[in-house]
This record gives sequence, structure tokens and C-alpha cells, in this order.
Amino acid sequence: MTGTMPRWMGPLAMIAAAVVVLPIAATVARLDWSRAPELLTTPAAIGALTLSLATAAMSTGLCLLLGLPLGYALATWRSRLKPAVRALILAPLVLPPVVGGLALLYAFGRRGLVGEALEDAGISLAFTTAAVVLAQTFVAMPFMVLATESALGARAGHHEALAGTLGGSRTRTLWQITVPALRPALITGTVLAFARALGEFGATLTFAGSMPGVTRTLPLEIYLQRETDADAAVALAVLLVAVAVTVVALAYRPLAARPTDGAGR
Amino acid sequence: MSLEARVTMGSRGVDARLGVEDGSTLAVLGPNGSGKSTVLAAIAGTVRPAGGSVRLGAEVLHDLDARRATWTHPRRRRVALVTQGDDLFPALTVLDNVAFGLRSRGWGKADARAQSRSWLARAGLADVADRPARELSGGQARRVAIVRALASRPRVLLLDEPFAGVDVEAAAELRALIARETRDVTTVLTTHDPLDARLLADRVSVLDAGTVAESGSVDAVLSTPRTPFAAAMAGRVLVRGAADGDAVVTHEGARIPADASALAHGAPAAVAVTPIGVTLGASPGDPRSVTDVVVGIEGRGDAVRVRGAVLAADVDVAALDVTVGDTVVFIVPEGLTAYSA
Repeated sequence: MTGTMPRWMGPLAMIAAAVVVLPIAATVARLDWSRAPELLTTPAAIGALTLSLATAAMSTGLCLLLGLPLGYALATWRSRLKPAVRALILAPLVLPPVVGGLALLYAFGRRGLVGEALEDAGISLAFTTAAVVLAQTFVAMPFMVLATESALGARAGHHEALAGTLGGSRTRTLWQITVPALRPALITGTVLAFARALGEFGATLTFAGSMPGVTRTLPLEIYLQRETDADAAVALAVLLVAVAVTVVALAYRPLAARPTDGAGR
Repeated sequence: MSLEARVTMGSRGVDARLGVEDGSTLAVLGPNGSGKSTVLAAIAGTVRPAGGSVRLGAEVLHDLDARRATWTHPRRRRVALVTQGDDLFPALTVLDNVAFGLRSRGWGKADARAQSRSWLARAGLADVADRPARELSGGQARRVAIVRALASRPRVLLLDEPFAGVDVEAAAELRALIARETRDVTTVLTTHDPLDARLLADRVSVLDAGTVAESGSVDAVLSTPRTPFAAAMAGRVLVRGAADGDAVVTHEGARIPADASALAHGAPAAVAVTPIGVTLGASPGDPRSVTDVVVGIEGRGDAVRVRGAVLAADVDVAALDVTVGDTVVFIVPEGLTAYSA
């Protein structure tokens, strides 16, 4: 904690909160509570929610499995190219999701750079559930990489060095010392990645399409319902917000400057 | 296996040479910032120095001065280091901290834990074995860190200021542990306290701004130091001059009463005086008196050190009645012996 903030920041903070909270509140206000149970239990709604949770969980798992090593590599890599490579890896954060979807098509689509070869091998990614997971992983990965890299960068490596003098292999040191120390950062990265994957829309629509039960996730279902039944769209939207807010509230703790490890002197 | 190390690190002004006989303990005595930690880290391999080499018996752990520099990873050195910092791995229990080294050397989990438990019991730490390491007090954590280092069966044990930052009681327990358990282990410990060297070490090297000012047996270095720096580290004042039968005569002409009969008349001689044994006298009539001028007065806990140009005396605060510039008479203790300088 840095102490009490200056008084003039108070109103600004309230405006900031209002910018975020008002639209959400407006959505909830727009909800027709009497029809909500019925709207949320249609086969389409349940299918979309199930698909969303399943794919978001899978892509979060992939982000953890792949993003941790990538963040580690970035943190320890000594090269002048590092800023450029880091910027490239974080590009999905700033890329419009539709562009991300197009990029995925050019890479993994039927005529894509890698997709064509995969097609020859009998593997078709585009417009499958796997494509949804890939799109979500693409947009969510930067959160995991950022969290891991910055947490590792803040460590002095004192315990890792001592583990070395005791004969500890790199793998043993990773599991017993580094990963436990990174736990808060990994949780933060996981939660942010899951939230981002759950809300993914543009890249999914572009790259994976909108096939009910296969690639039509909750955000896509909301977008489609809006055309026919606005009340259904609102009910689904409130559901999505509720899931996301619950996950973040339960698991997310801000990455404060906590003591990382005990480097004496 | 005996250890031979030379560590150079220009950025920290370090150029030190150390040697430790197999199974013995060397104390590296020096003030804060004299490069002690750097020297130990280089021997352990956790810091790569600019130059120098470390040999353990016939094995070269690293040689950075050779035309083709060699470097052994810390993992393969079997040189354990205990630092002044928080050494324990916070995510593990005390027991698993101690077992880490054995597990790393291929022991099974159950065997490593049983062995670690008996190590902890020997150190009087059996009751904290299953506690998370982060819950221990500073003194306990330091003891566990030392036990962990010993349990890994190192070929050399390096202890960096093992008593720094722990309270007096914990320091006494630590001292007993080190004295008991490092008897047959080749050990280097750094300290700024000559008492640690006296109690724990066979030999001592005095480190002055990164270089070794003096080296030798504990008694030789601490009782008959050759350099003013080593004398100061040993808590003594070094007076150098020429032997003159029953005194050492400085170049400025001051006569320090000390038995110099073993030395040839006029031979270079030194005498190391402990200020606690020196008193302030009233008149220069006493045969053990030395007339001097006060150049400084420093508080030292429960006593005040009156520093003269030649000698110094630790006196009671209540008895202090001199100021800087006064001419005083120091009475040196009986039984001082001059030695060849």
C-alpha cells in the first residue's frame, strides 16, 4: 500500500468505475427476470454455455502448459532481439480479434501456411471445436506469458542458486522452488487467460465459424440471439458476466510487490 | 581434499588467495564490504568471478586464467554454501529442505527423509521438522540451512557470516552446532568477529579491501599480528619499532615496555596490545607507563576507547576525564612480549 490517495483522484476513480459498471448494470436492468429461467435453459443456450466453459478450460490449460515455458524463456533469454520478440508474442493483446481470426485462417485454414500440410495429412482444423480452442489460446496466451515473465524477472534467483549448490537439477529446482514462488503470478495469469478465452468472439467467428454445438460459443450465441430475441441475448449476456465476475472474484489477487525470495545483503 | 582458491573480481576490488587443509576450518576475517561474500560465492560457483581458479585436491573446479577457461557448474561441485540471507526454500517443509540435497543425489524419498530427520534431531531441531520453512525464526532457519548443507555431504562447506542477524542465544547454539559438526569437514567461514575465528577455526586469513592482508594459524595471526589491519581485526593495537631488551622503541622514540630479550638489539620488533588491558595512569613514574597524546575518543558499548598516537586504552565511561589533544599516560599490562616484525 502506498498510503492515502490525493482527494482529487476520488471523483476520477468514481468516473472510471462508472464507465465499467454502468453498462453492466444497464444490461442486468434490461433483463426480464420472469423469462430468464426459460431463456437460459433452451438447448441452444445450454449447448453454447457448455461449449464455452469446455473450450475456455482447454485453452486455459494450453496457455498454462505453453505460456509458462515461453514466459520463462523470455525472462532468461539474453538478446537484443528480445523486445521485438516480446512485442510479437504480445501482439494478440492489441490485434483486433477479427484480424486475429484472419491470421489464424492464413496459418491453419484449409489453404493456410500450415493448414494445407495438415489438410494433406488428413487433419482439418478450421470450423472445428479445436479451432475454437486454438483461437482462444491465441488471444489468451499473452496474459500467461506476461504474468510469468514479470514474476520471474522480479526474482533474484537466490534460492535457485542455492538449490544448485545442493546438487538440484533444473527440473527439480523448477518444481520445488520456482513454480511455488510463481504461484500468485500463475493464478493471476490463469484467471486472466480464462476470462479472455471465455469472452472470445471475433477470432472465433472468423476462424471457427458458428456451428451450433461445435463452434458456437456463448458470445456467438448472444450475438445471434440479439437479431431474433433481444431478451434471450440479455439473459445469456448476464449469465456470461456472472460466470466471468465469479471466477475473477474468487481467484484473482492483484500482483502486488510482494517479497519474492530472500536474497540477503 | 584441500582447497586452493584464488578469486579476482575487479569490479569489487577483490583479489584474494585462500588455502584450506583437508578437513580443517579456515576463518576469513574481515569487515563488511571486504569481499568475503564474493570470495565464497565464487568458490561455490554461484557467482562467476572475473578471474582466478579453484582447486579441490587434484580437481580443478574452475580456472578462468587458463588459456581455455574451465567452469564447473555448482551442481557438480559438491560445495555447499550457507549465506546471510533467507536460505530456506519457503514452499517446502523444514524436513524437505534438508532432504533436498539427498534427493538431488538420487536418494529415494523415504530414505532421504529418514536421514534428514536424524540430521535435524542431532541439531536439536526434531520438533520443527514438519513445519513449513517460512515459519522458522532467523536463528532456527540458519541452523536448518547449515544442517541442510551438511546433509548434502559436501566436499567443502562455506558459511558466510553464519552469526549475522541472529540473536545472541541463537548464535551460541549455532556456534556449538558448527563446532561439533564441521570437525572433519573442510570448511571456510567468514566473520568480522575474531572470537569466531578463535572458537571455530584452525587457520585464519584476514581480508582487507578484497586482498588477504595476513594468513596463518589462528594464534599467530590474532596474538602476534604483523599488519595494523590484522591487529585491528583481532582487537589489538600494533606497535612496531626496534627491540631494546625490555622494550620496543618506535621510530618516534616512544618506549613500550615489553620483553624483547629474545630479539637482537635494534632488530625490527612488534608488540600487539589489547586496549582492555591498558589503563590511564596519573604520572609517568610507573615503569610500565607510556606517555602519549589523545587523538580520538570512541564509544564501544560499555567502555570508551581512548586512542593515542601510539597506544589505546578502554576505560570506564564514568572515569573518562581526558579529551582529544590531552597528553596522557598509558599503563600497559604486565607480561607483554615483543616478537619479530
